[in-house]
Amino acid sequence: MQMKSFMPDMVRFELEDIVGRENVSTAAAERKTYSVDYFWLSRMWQDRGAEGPLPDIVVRPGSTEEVSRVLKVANYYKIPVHTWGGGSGSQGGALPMAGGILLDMKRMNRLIALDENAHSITAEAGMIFQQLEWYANERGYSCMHIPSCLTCGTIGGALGHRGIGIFSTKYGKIDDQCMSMEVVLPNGDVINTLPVPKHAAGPDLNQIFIGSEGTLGVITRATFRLFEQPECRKHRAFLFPSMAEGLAAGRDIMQKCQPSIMRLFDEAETVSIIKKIIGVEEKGAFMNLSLEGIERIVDIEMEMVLEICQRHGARDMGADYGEKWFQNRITFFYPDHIMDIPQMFGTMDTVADFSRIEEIYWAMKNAIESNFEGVRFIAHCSHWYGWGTMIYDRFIMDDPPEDKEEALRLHNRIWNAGVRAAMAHGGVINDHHGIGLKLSRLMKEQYGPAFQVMEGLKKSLDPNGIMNPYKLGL
Amino acid sequence: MLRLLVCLKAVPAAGEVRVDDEYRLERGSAPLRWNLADESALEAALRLAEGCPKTPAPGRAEEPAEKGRDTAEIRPAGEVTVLSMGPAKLQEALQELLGRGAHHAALLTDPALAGADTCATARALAAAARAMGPFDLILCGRRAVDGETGQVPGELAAALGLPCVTEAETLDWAPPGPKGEGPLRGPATQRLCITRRLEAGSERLLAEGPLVASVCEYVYPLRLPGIAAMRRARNHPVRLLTAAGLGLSPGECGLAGSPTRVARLHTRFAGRRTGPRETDPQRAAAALCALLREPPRGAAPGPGGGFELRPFTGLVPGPVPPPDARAFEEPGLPPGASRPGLLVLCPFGLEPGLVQKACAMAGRPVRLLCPQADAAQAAQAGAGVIHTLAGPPPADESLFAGWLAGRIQSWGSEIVLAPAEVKMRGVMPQIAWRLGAGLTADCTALALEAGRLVQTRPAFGNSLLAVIRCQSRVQMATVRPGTFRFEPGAAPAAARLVPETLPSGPGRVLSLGFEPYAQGLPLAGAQVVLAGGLGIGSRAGFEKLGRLAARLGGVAAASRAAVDAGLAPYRCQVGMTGVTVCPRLYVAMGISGAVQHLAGMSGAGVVVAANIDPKAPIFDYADYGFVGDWQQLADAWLQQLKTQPAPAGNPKEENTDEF
Amino acid sequence: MMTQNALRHADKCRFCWMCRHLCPVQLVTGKELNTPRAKGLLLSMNARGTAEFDPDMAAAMYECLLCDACTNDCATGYQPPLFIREARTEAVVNGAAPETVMKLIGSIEATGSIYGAPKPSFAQEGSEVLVYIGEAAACRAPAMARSLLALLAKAGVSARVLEDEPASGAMLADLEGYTEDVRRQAAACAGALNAAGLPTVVVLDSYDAEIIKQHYAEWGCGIGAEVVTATAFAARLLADGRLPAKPANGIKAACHDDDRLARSLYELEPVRALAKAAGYELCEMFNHGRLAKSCGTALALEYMPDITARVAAARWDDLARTGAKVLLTASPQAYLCLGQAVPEGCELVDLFEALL
Repeated sequence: MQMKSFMPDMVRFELEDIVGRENVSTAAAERKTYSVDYFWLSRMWQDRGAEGPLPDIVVRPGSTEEVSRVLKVANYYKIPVHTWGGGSGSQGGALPMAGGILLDMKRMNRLIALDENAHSITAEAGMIFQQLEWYANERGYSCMHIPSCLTCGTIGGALGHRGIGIFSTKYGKIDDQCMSMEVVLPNGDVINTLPVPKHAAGPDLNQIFIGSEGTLGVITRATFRLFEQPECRKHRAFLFPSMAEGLAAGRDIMQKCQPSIMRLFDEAETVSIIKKIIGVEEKGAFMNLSLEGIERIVDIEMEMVLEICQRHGARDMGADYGEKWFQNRITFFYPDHIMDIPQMFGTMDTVADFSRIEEIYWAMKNAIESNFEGVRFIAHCSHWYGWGTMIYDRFIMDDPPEDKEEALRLHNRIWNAGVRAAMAHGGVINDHHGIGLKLSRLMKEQYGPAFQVMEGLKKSLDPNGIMNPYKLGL
Repeated sequence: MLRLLVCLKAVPAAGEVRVDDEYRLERGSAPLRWNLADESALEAALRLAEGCPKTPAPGRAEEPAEKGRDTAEIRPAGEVTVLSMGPAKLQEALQELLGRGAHHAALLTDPALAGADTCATARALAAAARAMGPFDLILCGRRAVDGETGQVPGELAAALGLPCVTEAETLDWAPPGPKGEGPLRGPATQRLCITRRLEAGSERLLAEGPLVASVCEYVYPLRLPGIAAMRRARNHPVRLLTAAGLGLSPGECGLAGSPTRVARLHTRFAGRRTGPRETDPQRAAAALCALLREPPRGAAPGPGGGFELRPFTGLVPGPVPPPDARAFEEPGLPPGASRPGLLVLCPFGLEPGLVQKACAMAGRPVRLLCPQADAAQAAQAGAGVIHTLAGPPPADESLFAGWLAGRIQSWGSEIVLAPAEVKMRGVMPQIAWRLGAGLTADCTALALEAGRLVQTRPAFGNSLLAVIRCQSRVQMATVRPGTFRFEPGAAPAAARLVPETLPSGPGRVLSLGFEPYAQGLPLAGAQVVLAGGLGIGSRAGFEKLGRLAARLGGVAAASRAAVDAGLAPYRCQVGMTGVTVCPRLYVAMGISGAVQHLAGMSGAGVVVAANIDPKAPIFDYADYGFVGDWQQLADAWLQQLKTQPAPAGNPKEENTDEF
Repeated sequence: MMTQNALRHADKCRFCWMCRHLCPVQLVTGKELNTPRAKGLLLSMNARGTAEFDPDMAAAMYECLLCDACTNDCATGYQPPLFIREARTEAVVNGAAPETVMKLIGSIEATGSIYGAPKPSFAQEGSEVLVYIGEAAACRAPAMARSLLALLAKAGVSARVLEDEPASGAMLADLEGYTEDVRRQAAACAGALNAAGLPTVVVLDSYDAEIIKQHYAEWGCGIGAEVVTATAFAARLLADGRLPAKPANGIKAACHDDDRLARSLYELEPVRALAKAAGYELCEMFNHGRLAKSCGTALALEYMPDITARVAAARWDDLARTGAKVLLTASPQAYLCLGQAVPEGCELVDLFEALL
């Protein structure tokens, strides 16, 4: 079916009727700002002077009810809907690859409630996460979800891709921290998941929508746990003889206590870090960790950590590096400190249990470095669980092809190689950046027959297939 | 309609150069921008074209024009053409200058022109000027922030047969003189009153156009783009010029047409230093007094019992550049000429250290030109033939240069050296052009290898050290004053004195007077420098800094930020767009440590930093740091110095970059 | 056409995500366009030929308060206002700027001020300091001008105000970037200030103070006198004992730090000194000091009044969360904008008046 003549204006009018004329736009300047997020291909495309994916129409809802009515209109006309929070996703999940409606959620940025008794905070999903954190800070609390995209990503975005923050080892991932959500289904129905995340009332609806990346509905409101700010935070760093010892030490530490930050770097990354600290090159695996909470408890935990690390052959590097890293943790993300075009780079984070993680690291490193010339591979493990840890592994290429199609092809080949190597050894397709567009084609390989569960959900909730097409493999 | 030409060079933006992990300046890291002095030249040209009757003193607002004055004769309307040489991408930047009020723009862009030294550059610019001219006035910036030679204006003037005035601070149309009388008889519209900045003061000149002048930074801040001018500029293309189009043969262009070549380029270690940090002003002052008293390891005690510190020479040899496909030909030496005729020119004042060095290099007494009054000392320094001048050289340096070129040819000298003071730096390029000689400016080391000079000079604010060789028959160099120290020794053989007769006739430049600066010692050669930044806070603060500097036998200086804020005059500025200094002791008070400032002082022997911010970058470049209020340190230091003997002035120490 | 330098900044900002949480305009409109990154991205696309500098892009460049919250945040030192201002120049040169903006520029060309009508004069003779009122205060917040002059009189300071105060160039600079027209205004203003020949110039409006202190010298229009903001001068009078402090009144209040004072001039203490001397019990809004959220500008109020009123209302929300009901300011532009949205039961206080 095609829209002829003034049909698009008719649709536009219906949308203006819902959200107000000033909150609908087809201006070229406005639409173009949504054609680039943090997905390397979208950036490279813009940098090479090519036109990125443009939506047909930008809609800014101001309330859950408006979202509901917009989705009903979209479904009736079978217009794709792409939900956009901050546009900081690295997987291309928010890009309007199918044109249609771009739903910019940022008008919905109100704080709804802060309950000091229940230690919970509720806000609309278009609020930038830093704003939520500041509301919590104002009263002496923290949401303890501190990702690098804190100042850009929205609540909806964090939930949509199942995000993680630097303190997750102690305070959990976003899916641990979210208590309840309000979601607008593709058919316009507004639903609420149960008020608390723990119950015995069937499958967990939170966990169905968290990580759904805009394919099953639009998250409009969420409630999160609030944590008290810790009494103290203490840092320490160690140099292990190799990554194996570092992993073993991390495993043992996780059985005894939960550091808020624990970062173990592979040999490649260790070389440059160590040189900056002590001025000479030394081999090994560097680890910095932070413990926080009540000071008396932290001191005991630190003793245990020291003992464990020593047992695994580590050299104590003191507290300075960790403190300095923590103070400068944000500086890393600004221009000229962070990697940027013209380099080609990507983070192939994966997660596995302690029995498999080291094997996966070597498999991925090998898959990248031996098959692709001019590409280097560095990694660190930065989020830990009782059963295992994730690897934050990056590939970097300084001189990617100038031709954009060649660059795209090479980029995707590298991703396939790395991710398949991970999956082949028992790793998971992604730890906390999401699937988006980048890994969409590999979802079936990851899940096999289990994918039909997700496909079933998708078909049932979004029969017209309008919600964020081409993403998540759905 | 008067026609003015402004030549501009695109250089790395001094304020945006970065340091790498090894604390070396990354020359390629900064984007290009127009050289600051060239922008001043453009503003001066625009004002002259508009015919402003007065030039406001630097830093003060324009005064409204006087009413009722007959300005017809001194308000010529004019058009300004901007010209640059470089890659094609400079077209946009030139168009931007059209948006600032320039009327025409041209770009010399041609791969054949790449790699040009100052001589080849001047040749190309002269060809462009002839093609687009004739011009009544040609303005350049006095010196580019990367090459720092300041030679192109003089060579350009000589190529066009025009007089040249360098280091112009202010330029105004001269009111018409009585017609037909006086030494300058040109039409009134082409006479300029120029104040020229010399080391110790300011000279007022009256010059008759057409001429070339080089303009100092900061006096004429370039006006901002205008809406109407920008609209006009949209449709005004930049004229593109090529070497062939200008009739230049391949042998005259670029590297092939350059008598001087960079043989090696060393990146000078910018000077990451570590040192103790103190927060108590009394203890810090005591430590600094002790620092001044004790001679460091290996240094000889100097006169006056003051401190004696060797200059910092943390050189990291750069990679040897690959051999040039076009062979670097050195002309065959005439038989028996392993000892080429060496000449030292000191017409404005003798530099005995340079003379002595020249004799040492030549292995015998050298020929020298100097004022008659200095003849005896020149003989002591070892000169063999001393050509004496009875009076001051003419104010018209092109006249003087023409005369000198003739004398040099008659003497047959093959190596000509001179001190790199302002006036000689203006004269030497004009001689070089006439002799077809390569000229290297501001050398900090010299050697003679098989009859050829090996010249070492800093560039890009002291961050690079270039080793230059010259392939022309006559080799010329100016040497940074104070580089070679005079050692009184055995009495040399008696010298032969030859009085010289200066050219008669006033030429086209007349000197109207000289006004010395209020501040005593010039900054360039100072051995103790106390520089203040924005943290000094006020002019009163700078006065206190000046008192402390004087007490230490040194000179007060300022960072660019302080000068921009009007706290100190421009001639005190240290940094890439100011003066580069190599003092024994450099004290930075209230300076944060911007890279372009560090480049200007990184050659210092000992660096002391005082700043209230413990994270200020300057501390990474200091041998000793005080974290706190600089006033407290200054007060404590002044107080403790009361009990010390004053140092015996600023000894001129050997300060060479030989390695 | 944009300079290489501005395009470099735009290219660095186009892919960055770090300052998105701070833009006060974005926080009230929810528009992606109202982020510094979006503006950089559009200019980057324009430079590569994939986006036209059409009236919509030009309009986006004007939906910005130039409050420097983004500049203040960038750890590397990139400055979105740099390319936003140049984009405004581009818009005016191209004829793409919004009509509301062009009208204001026309008004400045005709009358010297964005308000069209001749500026009310506060002329008075004096010999100790020269007070520069500025057009925003003179035309839209005259009460604060009067209270400052009364306060100076109370302190025994002999203050002169020029009969015909030339514009400082701040308004035109925000409308069309740093152009030669702005520099000429600056030169005229500097000429008048210098001609008065007094050793100190007290500037009431921090937007005027910023351009005078941070740009005039670089443009060759340096001021010989000491230039000081009215808040800093009043704080000095308090410290010197020429103004008495008021007894504590027990009222909880917060100070609003205006953009230029806090982020360009780094003056955070003086306004607090004034507040304490006026007897208030000070509390702080969460985003205060250099992180203070803008409440709007007099210029923005003229060409985008609706957004500016909402930005001001958002600042009152920040106050509400502290539990205080009184907002203190010594900035005429802040006084003007905050006054557009005073909530029920709250009070906006002119600190100069409070000290009288």
